[in-house]
Amino acid sequence: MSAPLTTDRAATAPVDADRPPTPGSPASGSGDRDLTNTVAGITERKMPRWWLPALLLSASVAGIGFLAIGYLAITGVGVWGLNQPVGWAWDITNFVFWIGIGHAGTLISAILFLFRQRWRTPINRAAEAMTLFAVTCAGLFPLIHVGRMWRIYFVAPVPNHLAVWPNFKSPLLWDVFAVTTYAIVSILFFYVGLLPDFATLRDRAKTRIRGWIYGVLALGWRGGQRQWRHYEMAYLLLAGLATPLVLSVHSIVSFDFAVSQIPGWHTTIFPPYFVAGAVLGGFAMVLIMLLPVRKAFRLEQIITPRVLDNMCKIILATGSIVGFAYAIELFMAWYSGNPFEAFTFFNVRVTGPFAGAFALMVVCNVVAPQLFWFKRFRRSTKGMLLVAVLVTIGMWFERFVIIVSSLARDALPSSWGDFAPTWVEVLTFAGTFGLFLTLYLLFMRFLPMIAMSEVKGARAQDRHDAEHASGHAHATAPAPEIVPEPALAAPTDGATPWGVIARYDDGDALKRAAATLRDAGYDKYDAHSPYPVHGMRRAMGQGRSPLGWWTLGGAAFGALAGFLIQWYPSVVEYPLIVGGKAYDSWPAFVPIVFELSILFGAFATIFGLFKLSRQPQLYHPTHGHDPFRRVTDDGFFLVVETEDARFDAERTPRLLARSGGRDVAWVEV
Amino acid sequence: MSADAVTQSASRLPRFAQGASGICLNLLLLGGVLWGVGVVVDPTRAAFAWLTAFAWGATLLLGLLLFLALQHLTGATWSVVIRRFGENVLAGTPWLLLLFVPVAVFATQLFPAMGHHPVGGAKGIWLSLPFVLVRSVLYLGIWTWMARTMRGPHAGRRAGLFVVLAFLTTTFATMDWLMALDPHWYSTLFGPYVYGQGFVAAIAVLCVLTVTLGRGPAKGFIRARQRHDLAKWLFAMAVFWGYLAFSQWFLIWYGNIPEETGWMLYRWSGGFQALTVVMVLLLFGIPFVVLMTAFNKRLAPLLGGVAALIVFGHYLGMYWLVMPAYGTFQPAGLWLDAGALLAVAGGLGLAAAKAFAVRGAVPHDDPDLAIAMRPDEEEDEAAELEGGLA
Repeated sequence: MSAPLTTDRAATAPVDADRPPTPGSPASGSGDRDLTNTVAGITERKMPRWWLPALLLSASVAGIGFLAIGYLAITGVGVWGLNQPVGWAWDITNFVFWIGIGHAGTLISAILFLFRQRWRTPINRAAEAMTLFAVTCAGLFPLIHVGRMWRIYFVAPVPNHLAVWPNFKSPLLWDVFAVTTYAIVSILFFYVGLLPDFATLRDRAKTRIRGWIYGVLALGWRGGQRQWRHYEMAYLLLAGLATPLVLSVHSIVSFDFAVSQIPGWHTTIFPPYFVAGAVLGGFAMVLIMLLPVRKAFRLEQIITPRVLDNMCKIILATGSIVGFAYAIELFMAWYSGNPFEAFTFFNVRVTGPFAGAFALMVVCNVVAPQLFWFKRFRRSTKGMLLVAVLVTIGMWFERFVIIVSSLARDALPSSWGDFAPTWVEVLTFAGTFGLFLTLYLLFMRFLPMIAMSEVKGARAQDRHDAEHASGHAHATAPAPEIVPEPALAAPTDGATPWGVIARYDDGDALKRAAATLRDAGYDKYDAHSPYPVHGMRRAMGQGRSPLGWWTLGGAAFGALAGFLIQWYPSVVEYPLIVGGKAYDSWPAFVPIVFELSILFGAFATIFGLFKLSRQPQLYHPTHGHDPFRRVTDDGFFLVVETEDARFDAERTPRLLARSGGRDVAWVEV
Repeated sequence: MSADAVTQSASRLPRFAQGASGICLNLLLLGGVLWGVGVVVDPTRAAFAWLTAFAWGATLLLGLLLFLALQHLTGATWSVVIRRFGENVLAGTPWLLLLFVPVAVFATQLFPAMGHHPVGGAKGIWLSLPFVLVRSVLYLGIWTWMARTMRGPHAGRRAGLFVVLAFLTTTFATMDWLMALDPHWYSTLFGPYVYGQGFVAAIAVLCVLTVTLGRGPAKGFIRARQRHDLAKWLFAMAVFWGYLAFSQWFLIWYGNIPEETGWMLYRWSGGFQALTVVMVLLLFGIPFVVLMTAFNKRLAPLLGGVAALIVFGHYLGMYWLVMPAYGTFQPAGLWLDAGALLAVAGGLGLAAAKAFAVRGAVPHDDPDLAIAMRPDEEEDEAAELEGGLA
């Protein structure tokens, strides 16, 4: 095996002394074991000294935020600076700000996955976690904005159950569906990604309780190809669902403004422009959170300079798209010949009361990212951090300018007003940062920050590519040297064992051995590996996973249900004209139909995955075989059940040994 | 990919390029004659027909330019095999300047702001004939330069700049040539919407070429994987176009402001209503349903068919933008529209066929070709699937 493809500094990862790499094992050359030790070790060792004070500090800030919310709840929304005509300001700005932060995580985990960008694997776990935390922070604001938040269930779309009619033609209700779907699908996607890593933590656990907790969370994951086959498909399908979902979420957020007729809000470029801005802000936040962690835990050879370089390029691209949108809006405000549009843009935003905020957002979001045209800035952590902080500030101000300026300076000068935040609002916003950090620090402590299994798989693919680039054809790889194994003695106590197990040097050896078993006519066997081995499905003679049909069925059901829950109340039960739209204006139903089809598609995918990969299955005979624990680290194993029709107590172990298997052993029931 | 495949591909190419040039030349002549007759019979209709066809070709080539620039920018290796197809089609870009001449000649009939309906003020100057002509020549010049560089050795270094330039010039070109057909209507998403459509059409052209050439001159290079990857792009971008189209239409529909809605409403009346439905089906509906499964994505005839429909759907999309400015839907002049389309398609096709003859179909000298062509286990499975179906 050649060295990993990365051209970065040589590995200097701290290695756990009690788990030395097996000498002579080619797998140890892949760096998989070092990776497991580094990443899983963070959750096992004591946290560094700064961790607890940081947690206490951020939790206190979060606590202050919740106190502010409590004060709001017992006093009333009057403690905020909202009034006529500015009825949306600080809270909705924060909502859009936080929900946008989440978009980077989904872009990295889903969209970059679909584009086969393997550099994403070291950062996708942390970014996905940030998605969940950001959505949590975002969700707070609409909740508290409704005033009596303990009556939030009134907005549930059950027609007339509380004498409140849910308006399906309102973007605010679409938003509820979009954000809820986004939160749920993000959690599911995050959890599916964590399954193999939970299994790693389970297999490394040194205490019973730890092994038990991570064991339950791993749902009995064993890394068998019969699981991987469906798992890979589930990951692909969830990425396919999350990609349009993430576009839809910020598009629907933009609908909150753009479906209205307010100058500065009603503009068709809003949906894609909001999505690009969300990704920009999200990537900036990921950089801000990741750079210190990378240094603190010495993850430099996992989160390589190349990864950061690519993140900077995405910031540059989205910053430029946002700049393009700013420019087009200004141009069109002039081109339209509409005096109200022109006034909003040129007399309120570019010059006028919001000029400072406008200039700040242009400099931070458009000008600052242009530094990333230069490699020097993409390679300097300080430069990156600076741009990321600027972008975060700029993206907040962008939302503030859009939301407040259009309301404060409406078409009618007699109804102009201004907005200034009160201390309650400022503390609430500060509190969400505390909450975000608290959750992030806890995540660092208890979950693997880096998707170990995915990084290992990506590295294997990189090695595979490197071999081809250097001209060594894959097919001509030298056959492994067959080490003669001592014959496996039949079990002495007379009981029939569950099966026989053998360890292999690497994925290629495992694949060849699996193909041998397939050709010999076996069918009750499985190939276990720390990551899905490319081409294994074929080596075992498996077809494509049928999971996609589950997804399609779920999505179709969701679409139908989404249509009916809107159509029936709007057309049959309580026909009301809203916003001059006909009862059955189907276009207004599209957002919720879309969201529910994604939501149910994701549910069906998860249920299908569990059904097809036979999870949860907390006990399995292989768990009793101690060396097998390495399967979630860097071990490759082939297991043949004694129930297989072709099984023979002498020939099968010999076949495994001849195909390159080492440490052939019985697995007891 | 062996030396054998290289020789085979080289030996088949001249015949293919010759055949293609012959067909394209005939289309060009036929279309030119039809359209020439049309100019005499109904010059205004002929002008609109030409603008539709020109916009179809120009946005398609620009989509291709963006696609290729993105491949260079991201250092993509999967697309190396099909990159030369796109580069060869880009050979038509310099001819856009010639194809633009009829638009310039008939500009006063096409654009109200230059003729019978002056706008006045600064906007009037922006939309005046000289200013629009200067800008148009600038766009066309930049595109020609980009297309030439894109086919040369420095494409990789310029790719970032090209993405920015292509975006800006195309946005303003579509506003000048298409949105200005109604000088009072505006939509900030218009540029990205039209460009998105050109992008889908560009990938569709690559799909058609991949399927066609994969049986002839590029045999041995095109495998199931290349088609599958392209089909994924086609599927994703068709959905993305649907997203852009829905966003633009939906916000205007919901806002229901008369000065905006009228434009959409007119395209949902008379014969244009059916046109809208067919356009959305070809550009979004059919690709979405047909290309959803991996199995279908790998079926060469299906992919080629859907892609061809998208290329035509892109023409309908341009028709939908341009022709309502001419008046109500008048089927009697369809032969004229067809003439313009055949002439433009024939002309651009001729340039592409010549480029194929000169530059070949596959970039043999690219070091990334080996990575793109590396063997893959999943490939064999796909081949089996196809074998089983045939």
